[in-house]
Amino acid sequence: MITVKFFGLICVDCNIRQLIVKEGTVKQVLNQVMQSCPNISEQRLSQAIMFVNKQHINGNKRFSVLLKDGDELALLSPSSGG
Amino acid sequence: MFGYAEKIAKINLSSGKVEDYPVSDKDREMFIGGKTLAAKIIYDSFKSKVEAFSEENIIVITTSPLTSSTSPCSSRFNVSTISPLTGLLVSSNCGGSFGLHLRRAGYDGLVICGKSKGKVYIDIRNEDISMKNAEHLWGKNTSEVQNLLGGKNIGKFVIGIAGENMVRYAAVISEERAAGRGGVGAVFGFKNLKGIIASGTENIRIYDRDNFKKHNLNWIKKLKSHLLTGEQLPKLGTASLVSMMNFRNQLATKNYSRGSYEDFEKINGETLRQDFTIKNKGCVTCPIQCGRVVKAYGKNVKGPELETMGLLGSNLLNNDMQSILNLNHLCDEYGIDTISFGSSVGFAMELNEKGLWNNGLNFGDCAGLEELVKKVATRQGIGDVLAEGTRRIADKYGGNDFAMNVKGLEIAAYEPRAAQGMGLGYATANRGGCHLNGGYLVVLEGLGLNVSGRISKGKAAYTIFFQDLMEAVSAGGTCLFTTYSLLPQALIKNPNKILVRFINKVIPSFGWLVGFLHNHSWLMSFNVMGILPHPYSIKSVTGFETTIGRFIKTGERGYNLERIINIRQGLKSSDDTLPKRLTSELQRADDDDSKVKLDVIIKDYYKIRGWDEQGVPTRRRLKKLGLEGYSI
Repeated sequence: MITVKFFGLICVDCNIRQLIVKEGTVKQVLNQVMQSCPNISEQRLSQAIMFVNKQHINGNKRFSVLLKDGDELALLSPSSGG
Repeated sequence: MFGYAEKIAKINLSSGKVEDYPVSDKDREMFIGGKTLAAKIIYDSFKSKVEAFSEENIIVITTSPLTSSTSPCSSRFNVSTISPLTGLLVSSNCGGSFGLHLRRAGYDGLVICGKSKGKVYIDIRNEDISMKNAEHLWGKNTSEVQNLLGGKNIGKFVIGIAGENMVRYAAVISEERAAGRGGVGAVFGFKNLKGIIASGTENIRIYDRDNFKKHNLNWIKKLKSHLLTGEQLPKLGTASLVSMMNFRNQLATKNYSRGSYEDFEKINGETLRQDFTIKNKGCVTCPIQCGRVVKAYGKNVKGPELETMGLLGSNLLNNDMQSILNLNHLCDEYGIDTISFGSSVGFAMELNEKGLWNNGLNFGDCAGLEELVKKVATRQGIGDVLAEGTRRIADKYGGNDFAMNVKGLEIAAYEPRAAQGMGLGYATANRGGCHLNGGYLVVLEGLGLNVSGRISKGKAAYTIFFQDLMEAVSAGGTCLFTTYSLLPQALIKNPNKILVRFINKVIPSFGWLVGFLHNHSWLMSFNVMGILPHPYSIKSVTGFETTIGRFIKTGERGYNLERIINIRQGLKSSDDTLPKRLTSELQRADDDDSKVKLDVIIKDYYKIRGWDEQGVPTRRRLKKLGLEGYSI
């Protein structure tokens, strides 16, 4: 299973911290997230900064990254100001 | 003159004499107010090096034209002195209401000199200034003292027990807000000054009230509609950065030995909001409201900022949020800077771990920390050593390479090996290891925009630009958070788009252009609200012909003047450095770019600043800034 974690405004606005979904590519995992949480839009997910097992993934190829059992996908909204 | 009370009081604590401190209209136009005007006063007041704990040292409190003007986020005021931590100039900024009330009492600022024989506080009421006995206030914490000094409509600025005991990083508190950095509270304590109160009914004359009102409404709208100032900061506060910093390896962890913490989710902004926040709170006239109200010891109190979460959390491997809330509250009550306290404790833990100082403090074992705050404030036991700060602890026990300070001031919660520009900022900031005075380049390096934090190309020019911009914003009296709304939302909201990724990639290549503009600020002789609202506000309030270019030049002028004061205080170019851990140890063994390449970028920095190889501002640069005649 894959653990999807939500941070920043995406966590607050969608009122979700964590979700467990089935293995697949990032694209497939995000589809599962949208099915489980209808209040999360595709646009919101595509804007998120993504880390797989703490490693940053970006670009269109990020959607095809394969997530295996036990992997963690973190979705963060941009933040600043300390 | 519009925008000013036109009065600064010079108060001699030794003699009790109060007189006007002369400031010319030209000085006001050149330095505006806040920390830059304070630097001008301190430069003029000393002829040679002055020790922090000496009767010669002065405390300069300054407001700005926008203070109490109803401009958004403008309740800020400044306090400057020679720091007992660094021996250099320190300027500490505070969001409490004291500055606003000082202006209503009829003063733009105060110059406090000498040393009182007995314990006193200063009472300012509608221009009348008197010194009053503070024996009954001594030994009391900051909230109790403020309660004893009066009710609403009185501005208060007081020290706690730490200041009385000259803890070198003692803060001064107004309401719950701290002028925290650099030990200004210790100088208050040395002078036997418990605090200052001010009240009055004066109003500042506004040059162009109609345009000012219109401009304020637009500015507030801009702040409220921006992703960072309108959503993220109100909803999550500054603590929202913990998560992003952790993923980007920028979160100070275990005395900066690494940049991420496995338990960060227990102490991040999301957990603070969900499980501990009662409501938002903010400074007067602030539409952002980034502050939090939380519970500590059964009371509703101010919640911790990002820096506090880092320094009292991940830096100590403390995963107990309630412990952080309690420690933050205790530091406010005793009047202690949470950054320097957390860094000193983290350093002591590592010294203990390495067998260099057997002090009983261990990473992750935070049960005794609340008692330790008291020990520091009262200088009991190991608290007496910790109260000296990391540099002096290292002098006693060794470990200089991992004593996380610059010039004696403990660095903030951003681990700079993953943010090269932030590292340069720490190394060159006039007050020492400060993220804000350092230019906060991390705003480009992953916390805002997404320029790689591992590269150094172009960072010198951007660091200088942001240092001068923040200096100018401080001089004007506005909260630095207002600058975040200047970042284009399209770049922040869409980090994954091809064009945005391309822009983030090429931003460092435009360092030369930023450096060019820095040296030719006359090219920015215009005002555009959408680019930078601050100079237009100052123009509306004062009538000064302030443009974006002139505004940033004011910041540069202040930065250079502070540098001159510091050189007079003994600063050398070799002090523009970082602890060896950050420049020599790789943060990640497989990444050669995971250390701060300071030796490369600091040369560019000096060159663009117009300083010589020793880091001294050249005569030519000083002349350009209107500082001819200002010498070391």
